[in-house]
Amino acid sequence: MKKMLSLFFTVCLTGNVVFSQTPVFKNHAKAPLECNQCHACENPTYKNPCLTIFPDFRREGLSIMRPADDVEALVTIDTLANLYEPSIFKHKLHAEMSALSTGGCASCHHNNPPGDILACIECHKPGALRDDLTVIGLKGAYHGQCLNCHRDWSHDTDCIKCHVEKGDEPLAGGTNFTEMSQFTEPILPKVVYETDEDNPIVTFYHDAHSDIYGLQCVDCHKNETCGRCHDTMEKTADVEMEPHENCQSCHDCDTDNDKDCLKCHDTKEKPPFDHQTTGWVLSRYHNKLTCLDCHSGTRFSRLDKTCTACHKNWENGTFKHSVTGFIFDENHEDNDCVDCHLKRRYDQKPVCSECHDEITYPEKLPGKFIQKRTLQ
Amino acid sequence: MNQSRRNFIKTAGVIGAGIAGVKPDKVSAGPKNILSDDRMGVLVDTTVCIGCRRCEFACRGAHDIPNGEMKDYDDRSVFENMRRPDVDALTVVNQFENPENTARPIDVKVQCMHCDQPACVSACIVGAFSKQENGAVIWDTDKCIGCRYCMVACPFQVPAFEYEKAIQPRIMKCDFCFDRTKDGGIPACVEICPMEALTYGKRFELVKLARKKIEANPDRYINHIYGEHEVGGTSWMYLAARDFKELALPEHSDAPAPGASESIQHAIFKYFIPPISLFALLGGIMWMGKNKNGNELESGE
Ligand code: SF4
Ligand code: SF4
Ligand code: SF4
Repeated sequence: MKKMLSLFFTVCLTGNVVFSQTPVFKNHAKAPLECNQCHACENPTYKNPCLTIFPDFRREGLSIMRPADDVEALVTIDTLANLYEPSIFKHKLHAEMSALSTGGCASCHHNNPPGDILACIECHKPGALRDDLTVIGLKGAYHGQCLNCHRDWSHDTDCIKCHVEKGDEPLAGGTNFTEMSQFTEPILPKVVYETDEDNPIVTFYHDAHSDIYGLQCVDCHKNETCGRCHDTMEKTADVEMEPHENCQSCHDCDTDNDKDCLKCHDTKEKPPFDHQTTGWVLSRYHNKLTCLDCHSGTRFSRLDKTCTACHKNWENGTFKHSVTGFIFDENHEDNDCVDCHLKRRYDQKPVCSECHDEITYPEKLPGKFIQKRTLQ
Repeated sequence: MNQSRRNFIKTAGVIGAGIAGVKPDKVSAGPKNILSDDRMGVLVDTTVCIGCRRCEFACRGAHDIPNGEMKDYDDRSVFENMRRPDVDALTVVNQFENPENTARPIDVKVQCMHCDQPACVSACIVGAFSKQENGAVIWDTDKCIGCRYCMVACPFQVPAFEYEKAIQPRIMKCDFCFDRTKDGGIPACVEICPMEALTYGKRFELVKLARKKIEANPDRYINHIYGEHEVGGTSWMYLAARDFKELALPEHSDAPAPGASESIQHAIFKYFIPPISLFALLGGIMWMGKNKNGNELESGE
C-alpha cells in the first residue's frame, strides 16, 4: 500500500514537473514539425531542450522575414543587470542595415522555426556549464551576433561600447529612449566622383534617389558588409562600388556610346535633375510622387499627358473640379468634361464654343478660381 | 663515528631506495595512468575567439597573479609579438593574420594542453606532477626541487620557472583551475570568455561536438581536431579554419611524448646522479663534516 502511495505521489509530482514545462515558443507544438526534428531526447525540458545540433529546419534555413520598418525599435538586454547597466540595442536600425546585406533578419534570427520570432534565450541558455554542449550558451550567442560584425570595422573588442558598469555615466547617446528609437542612419546628400575619363566628374544625387526617385536603400546596396560604411580604418570612398552596373539597373545607357556617357560624366558638377526640363512641371500633387509611380521600366520616356491616361476614373460626377482650384457656378455644375475640354485635352485651353457663340475662355469664366491655378 | 657514518650511508641508501621505490608509482601515473572516461577537457574554437584576452585577465585573477584592470586587456599591440605562457601569464592569446579575411584575424589561446600521457609527469623525477582523474595535470610545490626537467620534456613548452625568485621559485603553468574544477566548477577562462570560444565538458563529448561542428560546417573548419590524437591525446583540443602549423600549434605524432622524455630521463639517470640523491649525498657529507668538526672540537677540548 505504502509503495502504491509513493508511486502515486511520484507520478503526480513528475506529472506536475512535466506540465509546468511550458513550451518555449507559443504553439510550437502546432508547427508543422516532428518533435524529433529538433529534440534529440524523448522528454525535452526547458533547461535541457536537448536540441539536435542541426535540426532539419536549420538546414533548410527556415527563418522569418519582416520588413525592416515593422520591427521593434529598441531591445533592452539586461541579462547581466547585476554587473552592468542594460545594453540598449537599436534593433530597427540594425534591421534596416542588415536588409542591405545578404542576410536580412536571418543574419541574426538564424534558422527561426515556423511561428513567432524567438528570443535568443529560447534556444541559448545562460551559464557556461551546459547540459547540452551542442547549443552555444546565451552569452556566446549575444556576443557572437554583435562582435562578429562590430570588430570587423571597429577593429577592437572593447566591452565599454555596449556595457556600462553599474552606476557609471551612460554612454554618449544617453538614455533618451524616444530619441534612440527614432534614430536613423543619415543619408548621404550628394556624392561627387572623379573618374579617369575625359569628362571626369560624375555627380550623384544620393538623397534624390532615395527621397524623390523612390528607391529603397536595398535597391542599390544589395550585398554590403558593415565595414563598407563603418570601417574606422578605411574611407568609404575608397571602397569601390560597381558604378555602371548599379546605375544601369535603372538608367538605360550604352557605355560605348559617347552621347550616353555625357548623361553622367561632365567637366564640372551637374545640377540635380529638374523635371521641368522635360516640358512637364511637377507641382502640387505630382511632385509628391516618385518616378516609378508614373514611369515604369528603365526608360523614363515621355508619358501620355492626358489626365485620364493615369486617372482612369475621372469622369463626370467622380471628379471634384475644385482640386484644380476652379469651381463652377450653378449653370455649369452638371457639364460634361468634354463640353469644355475637347477630346479630353486637359493640358489645352478649355473652349466655350460647344455651347456659346462669341464667348471665350478666360475672358468669361463658367465659375471662379478659388486659388492660383497650379494643377498639372 | 664510523658507526654514524655507516648509518648515514645506509640512510642515504634508504632515502634513495625510498625515492626510487615511491617515485615510479607516482610517476607512472602518467603513462600508465588509468585515465578516467569522464575526464574533462576544453574545446577551443579558434574560429570563434576574437582575441579579447579576457581569459588572460580571468586566469591571472584566479591564480593570485596581479591582473590589473579588465580594460587594460583591450590593448591589442601585444599581438605584435608571439607570446608563450609564462610565470605571470599561465595562458596567452596570440594573433595570426587571416589571408581569407583580413578584418578577422585568427586568435589562438595557448596554455597547458593537459596531456593524457603527460611528458611533464614522466619527466618529473620527484613526482611533483600528476595527472588527475578530472583530466588536470597539476604540480605540487612541496615536492618540486626545481630541476626543470618538465620544461624540457613538455612538447608544448608550457611549464615556466620563476627565475626571478630567489626563494622557493615555482614552476608555473595552467592547472586547469584545479581548485575550481575538482569540485565541479569551471575554469576561470572558460567562465569569462564572452564568445564561448571555450567549451568545457567531458573530453569524449567534446570530441563528438567537434566532429559535429566540422561535419556541419565543412567550409568553416579544416577536418582536424588538434589534440584528439596529438601526443597521445590532450584534454584541451582545438578547432581551426587553417592548418594548425600556421597557428603555431606544433605538429606532433600520435605517439605519446613521454616515450621521448623517458629516454631523456633514463639517460640522465644513466650518466648523472639524480639531483635529489645528489642533494641528499651533499647534505649527508655536510652533516658528516659538521659532525667530524664537532668531534674534532670535542677531541680538541
Ligand atoms: S602540455 Fe606540457 S605541461 Fe601540459 S600536460 Fe602536456 S606535457 Fe605537461
Ligand atoms: S584553465 Fe585555469 S589556469 Fe588554465 S588557462 Fe584557464 S584560467 Fe588559466
Ligand atoms: S576570452 Fe575567449 S574570445 Fe576572448 S581571447 Fe580568450 S578565448 Fe578568445
